[in-house]
This record gives sequence, structure tokens and C-alpha cells, in this order.
Amino acid sequence: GDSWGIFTFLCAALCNLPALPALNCSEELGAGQSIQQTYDLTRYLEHQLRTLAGTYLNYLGPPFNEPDFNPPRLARAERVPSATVDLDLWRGLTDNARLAANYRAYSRLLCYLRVLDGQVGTAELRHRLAHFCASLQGLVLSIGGVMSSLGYPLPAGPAAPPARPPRAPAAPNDFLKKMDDFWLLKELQTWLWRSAKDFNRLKKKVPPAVVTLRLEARGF
Amino acid sequence: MARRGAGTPFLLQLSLLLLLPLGGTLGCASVTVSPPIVPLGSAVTASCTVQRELCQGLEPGRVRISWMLDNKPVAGSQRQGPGGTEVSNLTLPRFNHTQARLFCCVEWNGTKQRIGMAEIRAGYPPAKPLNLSCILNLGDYGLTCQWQQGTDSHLPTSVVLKCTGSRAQAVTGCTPRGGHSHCTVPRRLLQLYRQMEIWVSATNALGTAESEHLRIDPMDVAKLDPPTLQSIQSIPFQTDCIALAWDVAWGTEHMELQCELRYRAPEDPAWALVTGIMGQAGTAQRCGFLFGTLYRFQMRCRRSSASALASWSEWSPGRNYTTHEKAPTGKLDAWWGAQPAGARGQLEVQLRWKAPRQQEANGRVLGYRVSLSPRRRGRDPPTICNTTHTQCNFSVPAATRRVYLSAYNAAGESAPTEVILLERTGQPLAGLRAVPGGERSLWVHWEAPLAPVTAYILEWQRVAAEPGHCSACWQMEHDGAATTALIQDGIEPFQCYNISLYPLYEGTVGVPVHTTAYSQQKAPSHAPKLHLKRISKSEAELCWEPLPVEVQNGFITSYTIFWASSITNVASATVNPSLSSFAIQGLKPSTLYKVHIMASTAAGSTNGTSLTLVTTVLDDSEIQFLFLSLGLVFVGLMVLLICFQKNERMKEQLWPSVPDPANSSLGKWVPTAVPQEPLQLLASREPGPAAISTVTVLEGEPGKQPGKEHPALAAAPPALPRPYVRQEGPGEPVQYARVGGAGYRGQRLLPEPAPRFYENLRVRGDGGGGGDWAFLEEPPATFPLLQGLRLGGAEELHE
Repeated sequence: GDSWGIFTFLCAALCNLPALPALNCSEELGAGQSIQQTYDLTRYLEHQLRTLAGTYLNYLGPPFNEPDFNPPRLARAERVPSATVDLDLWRGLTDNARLAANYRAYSRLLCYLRVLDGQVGTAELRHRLAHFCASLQGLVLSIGGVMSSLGYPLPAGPAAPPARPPRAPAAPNDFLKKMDDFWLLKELQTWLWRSAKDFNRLKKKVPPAVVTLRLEARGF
Repeated sequence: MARRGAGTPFLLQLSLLLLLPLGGTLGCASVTVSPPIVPLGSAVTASCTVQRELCQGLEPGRVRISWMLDNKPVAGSQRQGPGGTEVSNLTLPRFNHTQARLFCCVEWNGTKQRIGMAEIRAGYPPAKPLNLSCILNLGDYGLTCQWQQGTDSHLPTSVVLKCTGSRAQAVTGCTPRGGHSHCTVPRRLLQLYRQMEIWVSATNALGTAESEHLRIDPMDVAKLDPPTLQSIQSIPFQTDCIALAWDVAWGTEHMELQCELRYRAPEDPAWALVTGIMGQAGTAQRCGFLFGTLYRFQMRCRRSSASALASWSEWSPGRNYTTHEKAPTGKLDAWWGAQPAGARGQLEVQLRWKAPRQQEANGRVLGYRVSLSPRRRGRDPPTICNTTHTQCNFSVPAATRRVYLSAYNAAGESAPTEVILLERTGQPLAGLRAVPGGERSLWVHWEAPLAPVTAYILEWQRVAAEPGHCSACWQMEHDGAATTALIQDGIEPFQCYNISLYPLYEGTVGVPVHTTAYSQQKAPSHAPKLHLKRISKSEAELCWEPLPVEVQNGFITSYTIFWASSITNVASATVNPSLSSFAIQGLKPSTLYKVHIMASTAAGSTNGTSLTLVTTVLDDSEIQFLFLSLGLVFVGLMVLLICFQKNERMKEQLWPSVPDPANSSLGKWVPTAVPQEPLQLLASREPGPAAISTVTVLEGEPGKQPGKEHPALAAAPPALPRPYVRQEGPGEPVQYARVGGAGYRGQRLLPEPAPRFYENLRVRGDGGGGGDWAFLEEPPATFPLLQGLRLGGAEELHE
């Protein structure tokens, strides 16, 4: 309804920011190094999310912070880009498609996170969320950089929420809202985990001249 | 201005503000300086515009504008300006002050008044900041950058750190506080894992300067914490490998790290480094460690994907681990001495050996075992010695040729080393010599042997008064072809060592050869004490005890004796060190000499204490001769004396005896018969025994009789002189003098020629007269004796 419209508006406003010509940055580095940096950033975000999720779930309170809390997926949570796609299917995609999917997913996830940031109560959480959002934004930009250095075109425009059917209303009550947040974090975790694998694979594919240095440094 | 009460300060300020521009003197002139901030040393132009109407109290006539720069007057050019104003322009060609005030002044009531002021500042454009470097703090992900300010520009400068991410829009990262040259960019402006451009920009009124742009990924300059070593184990067991486990530092778990491990045993000179360890793995294995040794392990990590800018973390806190022990390996160096002893054909053996090296000991050696046969399974051989020392003295049957030595530790016993007790009958080596190799070492050289040698044994003992036995002062040289060896154990400088070399042949040990050496020599601790053995007129013989070995500090090369007196120069003589006495020749007799001895080694000399000696005046022989001659002379004199005593004639010659006049022949003489009465008288009468005992010369009255005298001669007529004849009669005393009462006129000299010396008085025949005798009547008084001689007759007459 109205809240959804406001949300959409906010998202659109906020999400335009990452789409600014981030590509104007002069990436003189080779594709190999950008991939490596993106991979490192993904790992970093994974690590940050662990801490953030712990703090946030504690903030949400029980039952969300219980380790064995494993709720079924509600239909309404589908607005968050789901990472639970068939892995074979995923691997079957081209590099371009995967990168594009990553780019879109993270842009939307960033939107949602920013909304979350605006609503959170404690200063510590706000600080952590701000930190995480900054890093996530960096990731989106990095992926854009990788795509351009590999010669792929950027996905057109942010994946706007209007793509989703507006039938999922805003959370009617507090509990369901918390549920939404829980699933947001969970999806984020899965996305990051999969992206790390993607970039690792990509690193090996990219011209070995650039990446060999890295592999040798890491092997025995 | 009127002083209002404190109650209306605001109104006062307001009124001041209103009044000043209207009526004040400041409103009448305006000073403009262009430019107000100039580079140091450049020209400045200023102009002062005076409006007469606005200035009250000015003197009529032309106003004269003058300039003052701080306190110094400067000249400007004045002209009429538009609208009845006076304008004065001033150009300062070289403005050298960093800050100065320029005043525009006019004559006012006879004094110069400042009516306008402008402040001029000068300086340099800002200097380029240098050496920009940044570090990312993993705690708050703030990027701290620091740089070096350039030279001071004397103008207020604002410094700012700028950074730009991928948006290519420079934003101010951070502003340093105060005069600091570092500041921290917050996380929200950073782009992690992406290139950023960072630089410092300094701006003042004269320009802007930028430092070198730093293009970095903030994560590359992150300061990592070191990993923590968790556990170390010996895996698999009984090998020389260990397995390590560690945890990476908190905050770096997501990073791909490459790590380095270093380890060291305390006796190792340097760390052993292992590189290329994956930080994420958490475990690693490494082999090649010694058994039973304490090792110290440390690790550090770095981002493996980082560029060259990334630095290593600090080394983690060390962790100690002692590898497990194993039975000792290898053979022990052993040396022995054997003597037959006891009646039952026993052999006394002193066996010595060296402790195994760390690589062979495989742990801490607990003890050593000596036995007669090697260890066989199941049976423990009889143990002769079980000791923790590296030597053992024991007795074995004389026929024993082999003993077995093994070392054991907590993990087991080593394979026994066979020690064959060979006899010392082999060929000795030649040409053994030892030279110093340092302060505490000796190089030993010898000639190559004729027969092949399996090993050499070198022994060294300190040469001292009480010989101690050093059981560890030996070493084995395993190279049979060597002709030189270095001794370093237990060699002290300034000590004499006796070095022996034994060649070990196949079936025998060679007879040892010996030599002595010092590793370092110095002057002796003191010189020997001189004693005087014998001294004479021109030579003195000195003797001394040779120095004991402990005091020598080196081989004595010579002794030098110095002697000097107050009149001669110092003379010296060098003596062979084997001698211990010396005779100094050519001394002057009866002189005081100071002598001392100097003992010299190759490395110095020591002087002894001075001995004072006085040479004799005469030689011994001379003295003896002198004494002998004196003695003889004395004896001769004694003999002479005795002879003299005995021999009268000699005595007479030398000491004639003066006869006693009473006993002389003169006393027996009597006066001769003079043909005169007196004589007859004399003959007729018996001479009475008249003896005169005393004679007194009287000068008294005639007729007075002296009291004491013999009452014989008073008033007697003067007797006729008559010669005296010796009376041969016993007991007839000799009469010497006549006591004459009267007519004694005392003594007087004979006026007439006196009788000659020793001449008897001649008696004239004619008596009574004669000119010979003036007082013939009386005997001449001057010859009392003579008178006495004549008196004898007179007395008789009188009696």
C-alpha cells in the first residue's frame, strides 16, 4: 500500500546512488587484480556479517538469536533476492550472467539494509550497519569494475523493487517485521558465501599472467 | 568619551560604533595596500587618501602626508587626488619583514598623527609536504596518515588531507589538529579493497602545494596482529618432525594470509626460517629437529594478496617446546692409561672419554657405563663402571684387552664403543712444537708419521708446584693425516703447559713426545731475591734461587744484573737463565753499590728489589797479609821485650841505671893529710862520730848556736881549709857540710876563678893566705858539697 510506495520511493532514491558513474574510476589495474580485490572484499563482508548478524539477532531478541531457530520460508519474504538457487543451474550460467546476477542482488540487498539502518535503535548497531553498508556498496562498485574490465556491460539500472509484484505488503506486525530482517540477513549470508566461490573460480579463469603471482604466493 | 555606568555597556559600545565613523579622525583617511600579503622580498605599493573635509582640526593649507613602517619613517609621493583629496602613494621595493604595520600620518596641531593603518604580511608559498605514509588500523578501520611539513612559510597555512575513491571526486579526508602532521580518515570515506588516491594539500595566501599522490588500497597498509601458536607436538612419534597449530589474529580470519615460522635452540647462532605457510591452514609440519632439545617457535603473517606495500605483522609471542629424547648414537672419544698393579696380575686402568655432542646425545645424558663385553640380548654384562662423570678408574685382569663404553639417557643406551687397551710401544713422532694461537689456545704442530696413524691423542697438563691432574685436558684428533691441531679447552694465559702427543696406530699406541708452551706470556710476577755470596775489593758474587714456574708467566730468556754506585754509571750483564749465580767484576773498592736483578721473558721483564753492598777496602788476601805481618811484628816485639828483660847488658845499653850517690865511690873518699895543722889535728884526734843529718844555712849573729844543729861547731875559729881524704873507716859517715855559726856569710859566688868543672879542688900548700882563696878561712860557701867534704875535718877539730 502506501508504505510500500514510500519504501519504493526511498529505495529508488537511495539506490540511484550506486548507479552513479562509478565506472569513471580509472582502474588501471588488470582484471586479475580487480577480481582478487573483489574476492577479498567478499570474504571481508562475510566476516563482517557474522559479527553484525550476531549483534542484530541479539537486538531482535529471542527466538531469533537462538542457534537452532530454523523457521520455514514465508511467502512474503520472497521479495528479498533469494540465493537458494540450484547450484548446478547456477554454475551453468555464463560468467557474465553470474556477475550480473550478483550485481543486481547486492544492489537490492543494499537498499534493504539501508532501510534497516534507518530504523535501528542502538547507536552501536547503527555504527555497524553503516560500516557494513559502506563495504557492501564498495562490493557493488567492485563487481561493476570487474564487469567493465572483463568487457561486460553493466546491468541496466538498479533492480528496482517495482520488478517485484507489490503484493507483499509491509509487515503487519512487529514479529513479522523481525522475521523479514532475519531472512534478509540469512540471504545476505548465502549470497556472500556463493559469491566468494564465484570469484575464486573466476580468479583462476582470468589470464594466468596476472594471477600467477597470487597463486604462487599462496601455494607452498 | 563619557564614562557611563556599568549598567549600560551595550549602549556604550553602540554609541562608540556610531560615533567613530562620523567624527573620528580615523574616518578621514583610508589606506589601501596591494597586495596585503606578498612574497617575502617583493615590492608593496600602498596609497593613503585623505579627505580634508572629514578631517577636523587639520591645519589650514596643504596637508602633508607621511608614512611610517612600524617605527621607521618612509617617504612617499603625494599628489592631489580627485574631489579635493590628497593622495599619497608609497612603494616599498623589497619588503623583508614577515609582518609589519604601515601607518599613514599627517601633521596635526604640530604633531604627527596616525590617521590610517594597514597590516602587511609577507612570506613564502607553502612548501610541498613530504613522505606521506598511511596505516590502516584494524580496530576501527580508520586510516592514519602522516607526512612531513615543509619549511615554514611564515604565513597562516591550512593543511588538509584529501582522498578520492572511485568517484574521482576529491573530498577532504581529514584535517590535522594544531600543528600536527598526521590525521585519521574515518571508515565511511574509505573504499576497502579498492584503489584510493590520498594526498596532503597545504594552502596559504600565496598559493597551494600538494604532496605526492599516494595510490593505495587501504587494506594493503593494514597493520596485522600476529597469530597465536596454540600447540606443538612431536608427530609422528620417534621421528625428528613436529606439528604446529596456530590461530590467526582476531580480525584477520577472513583474510588470505601467508605466514612465516622461525625456530631456534638456545645454542644455535641464528633463527631457522620456514616461509610459504598458509595462514588459514592452521597447522604445519616440519622435520629436521634435534632430539631432546628445547626449541623456541615464533610466527608472523601477511596478507598474501597484498602488494609490495603490505608489511608483515610482528612476531608472535614465542612458544617453547622440548623435542622427545632418543637413545644416544655415535661413538665416544675415549682415552686410557693402564699400569700393572697388585700381586694378582691386575691392571689399573684410568679411562677417560668426552661427552657426546648434542646431535648425538639425543637428549640429556644421564650416565655412562663401562663393561667388559658388549651388550647382548637378554644378558646384562658385568658393569665395571656406572658413572655420571666422564672418567673412571678401575682394575681388570691383566689379560683384558677390550672394554666397552656406552652412554645412556632417559630413552635408552647407545651402542657400546669398543676401547682396545693397546700398549704404548709404538714409534714416537718427531718435531712436536706448540705455538700460541690466541690468548687461550695453542696450535700444536708435528711431523707426519712414517707409519699410518688412525688417530692422535693430545694431552696437556699445567706445569705447577703441586701438580694437579686435569682429567678433561685431552682431545682426540680423528684425522690420521693431520699434522696440526688446535687446543682450546682450559688453556689459560700466562700458564705453562706440558703437551704430549700420542699417535694411535693400528695395533699399538706410540710413545708420547712432550713439549712445553705458553698460550700467552708476560713479564714475571716478581724477580728472584738476590743474595750476596762473597764480596771483595773489586768483585762481588751474587746468587739467587730460580723462579718457580707459577711466577714465571713465560719462558725466562735471561736474567740481567744491574749495578751502580753514586760515582759510576749503571752497568749490566746478561746471564743465561740456567745459571743461578754471577760474579760482578771491576768494582771500585770501598764503594756503595746498588744491585738488582731483572728477569726477562719474551713478553716483558720484571725488576727485583735493590740490594746494597759495600766493597771492602782491601782484599781478603791483603787483609790476611796485613794481619799476619802485624801479628808477627807484635810477636817480635814481645820477644824483644822479654829478651831485654833478661839481658842486663842490653838493658844497660838502653836504659843506663843512674847510680845512687850514696853508694858511689865518692862517698867513701876521705880528705888527704895536708901538711898542716889542721891535718895533723885531724890525724891526732880521733874523728869523732860526727854525723850531720841536716844542714841549715844561717844568717844569724855570730855566737848564736843553731838549735838543731849539731853542737859542734859553734864559735869555732874558722878552720883552715884542708883537703879531704877519703876515710876508709866503717861507718864513717861522709860529711857534706859544715855548720858554721859565725862567720857564715852565706853563699856567694867565688870571685876568684872557680875551679874548673869536675876538677878537684887544688889545695895550695901555703895556707893562710893566698890570693887564691878569698875566704880561705872558710870553705867556699857556694860549694856546699865541697864544704861538706871539708867539714869532716873541722868538726873533729871542734869536738
